[in-house]
Amino acid sequence: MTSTGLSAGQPRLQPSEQEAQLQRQAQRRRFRRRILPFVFILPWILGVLLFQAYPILDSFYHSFTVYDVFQPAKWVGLRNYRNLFENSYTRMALQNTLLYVVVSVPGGLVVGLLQALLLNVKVRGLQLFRTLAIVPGTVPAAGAAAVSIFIWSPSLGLINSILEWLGLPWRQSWLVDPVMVKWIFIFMTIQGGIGMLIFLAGLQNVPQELYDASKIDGAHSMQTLVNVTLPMLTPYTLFNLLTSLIGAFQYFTGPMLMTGGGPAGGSTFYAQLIYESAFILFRMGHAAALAWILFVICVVIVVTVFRSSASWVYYEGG
Amino acid sequence: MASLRPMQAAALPGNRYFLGMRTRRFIQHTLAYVLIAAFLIVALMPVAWMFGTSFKTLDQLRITVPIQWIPNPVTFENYVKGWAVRDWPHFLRNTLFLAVFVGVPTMASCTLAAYAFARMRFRGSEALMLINISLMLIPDQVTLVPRFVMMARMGWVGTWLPAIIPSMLALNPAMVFVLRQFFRAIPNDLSDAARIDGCHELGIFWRIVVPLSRPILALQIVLITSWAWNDLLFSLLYLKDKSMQTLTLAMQSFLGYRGDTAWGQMMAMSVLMSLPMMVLAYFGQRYFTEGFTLSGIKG
Repeated sequence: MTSTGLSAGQPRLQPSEQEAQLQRQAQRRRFRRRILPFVFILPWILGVLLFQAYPILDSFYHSFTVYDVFQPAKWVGLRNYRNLFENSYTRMALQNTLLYVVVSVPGGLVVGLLQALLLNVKVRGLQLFRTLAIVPGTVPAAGAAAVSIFIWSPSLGLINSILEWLGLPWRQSWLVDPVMVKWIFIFMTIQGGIGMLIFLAGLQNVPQELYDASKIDGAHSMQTLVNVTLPMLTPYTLFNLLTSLIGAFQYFTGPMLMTGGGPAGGSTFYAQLIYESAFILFRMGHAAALAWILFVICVVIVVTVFRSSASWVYYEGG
Repeated sequence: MASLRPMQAAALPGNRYFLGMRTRRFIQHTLAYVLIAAFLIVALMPVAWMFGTSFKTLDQLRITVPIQWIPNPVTFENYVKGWAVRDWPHFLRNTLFLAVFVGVPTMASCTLAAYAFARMRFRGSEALMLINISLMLIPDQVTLVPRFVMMARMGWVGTWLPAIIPSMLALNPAMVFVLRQFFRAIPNDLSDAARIDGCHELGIFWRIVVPLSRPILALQIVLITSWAWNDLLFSLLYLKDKSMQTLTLAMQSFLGYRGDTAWGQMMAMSVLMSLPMMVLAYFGQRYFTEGFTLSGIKG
């Protein structure tokens, strides 16, 4: 664009030349409009093909084989899948994960929503409260694991100390108890977290007119909440529901750091099973079968949620 | 809550209405304060315990009645000793590497793709977006093993390439989706005006859409950094080499290696590990909620 200053001195174009130039420009514009979007999404397309589509198909194939990376895969038909359901360890991990999903996902949604509603009341010190509210979420997993082990520790732990201080006879061995341990992980992860931030952002987008209108109609705060705020938040609820569902199926960092999945598989979750069978035992075929079962479960749940969402999610302007 | 009916209130804008509103507001605010305080106390208890314990001496670790939240005397010994046990700056550097090597290429490729999905018309864009949404909902574990085998075949395990290459290819469907939603809400008038002024598509992207999307981009930076600070799976698979280990792996081995007597040190190191995230979250959160409340750009 540095040559703009020279254009005044350039000879005038003949009409035909001018036309040709216009045509060329139009062509270039058409080219840009058609091709440029694909240039923009080319990395995305390559990523999907190389790191999503191929691995999904590959793991489908390998789920019917015995494969340890070092030797070529051997076709065994449905054996991996049959073994899965006979293995009590696998069944327990699946049970733990489903329990985790069923309790922790709705719990997290409710807590996140309540926190966001609370932190949306225009009181003094709001900024400070919002900042404090996200502090627990900023403690990295490894740090949180260390603190949690300490808090739940049977001998020196905070929980048992508090129970003793209150004179309650509920002292437990907590993380060392194979039945108790999964509930600790389930309840520990019921947090607003990032979902709370998303609800909070959603609350900022509810038009003030709706609140005014509801006030004029004489609605109580409770009625306003049920009839205005919650329906307007449903797109955010759907987003949070889907992302936390998928996150819940992948949950394993906490148990892995704190208990390693023990004791006696009490805190082994499905994702850890996939990791262990693939990268500790090198049973890639087995891991692929595990992954595919997870895949099918997720697809069924996600499709169900999507189908139902038509009846409960409200999108402004249709 | 004793509330006046609005019709009455509108008819009598006198003293009673004023008082009624005030008492009502007072009750609501007090209730809000009580609830917020209750929730913050429960949520912050573990963090407070972590902070407190990190300054305690060994014999203060015993259960005391009542529970001692604030240590007396305060000791910095845990920090000194815990710091000496591992080469923490080394692990911190690796964690930062992970955040940058994943973050920068991901942000670049995902914003470009999201821009095309949101604001350019092309064949099959709807179908491709549907694919993106479906991919968002597939757990990582499904593609985990084949991806690892692929990387291993390429000889990339033990290098930073498994972090960099997939990130360059927009391998973050959730980010593409969220950014696309945000970009879509930016009014077209601005980009149309720029186009008439002779601005090309990349210029519109860089000069108009990106600056207007700062809040959401800031959120993405916070999310990626916090991923790097929390990740275990990726680190276990690709960063096992001592020279590449991240803080999470270092903490994991620290947890396994130290006995009951080292709680103070572990808490001290957890505090140190959390501090950068707290600072980042503080600024990110301000930027984020501010951005959403102030920028009234909605279609």
